[in-house]
Amino acid sequence: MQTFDEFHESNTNSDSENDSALMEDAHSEVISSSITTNGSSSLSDDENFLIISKTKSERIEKFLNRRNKRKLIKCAKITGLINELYRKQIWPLILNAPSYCTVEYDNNKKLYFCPIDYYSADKEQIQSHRYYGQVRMDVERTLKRFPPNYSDSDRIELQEELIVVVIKMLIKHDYLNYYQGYHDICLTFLLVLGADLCLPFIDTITKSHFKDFMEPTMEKTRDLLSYLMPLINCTNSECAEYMQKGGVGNVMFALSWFITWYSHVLNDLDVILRLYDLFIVSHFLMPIYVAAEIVNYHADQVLSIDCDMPSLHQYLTRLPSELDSNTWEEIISRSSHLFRKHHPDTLDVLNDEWIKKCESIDHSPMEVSLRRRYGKDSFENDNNDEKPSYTNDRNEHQGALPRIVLWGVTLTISGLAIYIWNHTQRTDPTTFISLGDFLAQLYGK
Amino acid sequence: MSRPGHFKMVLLGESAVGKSSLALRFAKGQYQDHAESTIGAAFLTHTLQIDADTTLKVELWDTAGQERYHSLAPMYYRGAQAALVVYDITNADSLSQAKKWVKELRTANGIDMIIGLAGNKADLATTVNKRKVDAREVAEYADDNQLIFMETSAKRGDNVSEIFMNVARQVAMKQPTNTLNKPQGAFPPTKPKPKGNSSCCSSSDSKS
Repeated sequence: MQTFDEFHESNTNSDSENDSALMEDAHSEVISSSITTNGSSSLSDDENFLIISKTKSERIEKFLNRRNKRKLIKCAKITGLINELYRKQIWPLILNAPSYCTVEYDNNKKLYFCPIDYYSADKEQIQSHRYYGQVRMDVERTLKRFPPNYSDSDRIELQEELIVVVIKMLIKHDYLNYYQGYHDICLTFLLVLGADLCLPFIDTITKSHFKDFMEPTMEKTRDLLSYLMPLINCTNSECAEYMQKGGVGNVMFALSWFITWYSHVLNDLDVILRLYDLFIVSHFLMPIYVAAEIVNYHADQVLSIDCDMPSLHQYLTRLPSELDSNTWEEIISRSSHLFRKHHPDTLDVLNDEWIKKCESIDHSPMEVSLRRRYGKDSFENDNNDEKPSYTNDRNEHQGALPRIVLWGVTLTISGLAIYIWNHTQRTDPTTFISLGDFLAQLYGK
Repeated sequence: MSRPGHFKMVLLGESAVGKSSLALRFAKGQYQDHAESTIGAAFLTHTLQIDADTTLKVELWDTAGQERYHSLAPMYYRGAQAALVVYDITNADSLSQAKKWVKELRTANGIDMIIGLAGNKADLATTVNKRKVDAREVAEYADDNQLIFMETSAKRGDNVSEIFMNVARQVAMKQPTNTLNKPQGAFPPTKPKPKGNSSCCSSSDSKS
């Protein structure tokens, strides 16, 4: 038996290696796998798939046997971990488990994780928890997430386990506030790792990746999500501007992508798990980079959609569920590239640039008309960040002023001219002329 | 001649009172026994024929019910001309939450906003006697607060299109004709202008 710390120790050297070197190595692997694909072009797609899968799985087997954490992390990022059998063994290896956990290997080198009785909670504690009712409601309504091969009774059993898992985590860390969608995250870990094994890893991943979403309010989440537009802007500024003008710049369409790691919006469990492979070994903002690349990938189509909120929002919302697995791989690869190019540390700079740009976009006439669609209330109730719209209105009124002055001066001069005409012709009041006559005399003859 | 128009509407209310089910029944005439929880918000549109020459497209934001998402709600109700606040007739707490929403909407959007109040799951009052909220009391509250009140059943379809239609009619009455008359798609243009030109479209729309 080896403790987790010992295992972790044996990988310390590799962990300290430069991540970019890792990624370059990884990139060459993608190239080599595509060469394999091209080299066997006479084979059918199914045969190609089998060859690639075999190569992938052979590589994973090799790294797993050697317990090479660094290489396994790379596999998780670049190619994915193929199936649940591998994931069940590899996720515990590549996730840093809490220090009280231990790891065991049996003869077949399979891994068993034995947490101490750390998350124990009795039925009463669970049922009296402040989020119990909410969690139960959400879990009971989560049907499409369960694999189709589960019988009703299996599913119900798993749902009960899921409720317990979520509440145990919340009991253990009282500062965490449950949000609708966290149950989707926990369910994915439960499906892969099982009820006992999943707890310590959900614990680890929650603290490293989800705690910002579990603050008392969602404001932090909203702020983090707002990095999406700057990331689209730095690759495809035309598309970002168009989205901002169309009223989807608050990127609410991507909220569930971010906080459920896409598991709430995808139907295919294989794709969900592939994304989880990537996210568990990546920075917690990686789902935003993926969102940016999903939009960038479809930039031309976005630009061909009508520039209004309903059309754009509905189009963008649907995107993840319409991608096939090859496109996902392409998007994952581009996301990793985008991440290296614009590390999270630089996002505030990108964000400042984007905010400046938004000010000019907000001053464009199109923005005025977009705001007008939602009536006067939208002006009156906007917060400070909407100030540009007031400025727009003022500018427009200022534009109308010269026209009013011009008409005023014209009418005054006309009136004066009539007055003078009438008074210089002082013979008979009946000969006083009207404006119509005056104009007829002026232009008619 | 048909006069297409549109308005923004938001669905608010406690978790699991049936907001998404009402939206689904309204927009597609369908019902699912176990509707997924809404994360953040869902968006859908549905066009209503108000009278012989007026159609109104409802742009409906279906929001998440959990209290934690409350801080995001202003993003959805800001600028909305109408709201449907939903409670569950078998859950008295959900009515208190609905009243809080009404208060918040009136504070933020004023008396001009058309607000409907739906007491959903009305089917449970007749098939199984689970009613916890008295309809007459709610009707009085609705009168006092100028709300369009109906008990609805997304499951059976009772009063669903009726309450949306009543809200839409009142929106149509309150909105100036020129707003309703504004044709969909008159702005903005379907094609963007070249990069870097932020003032890319004609300003004629803003003057109309």
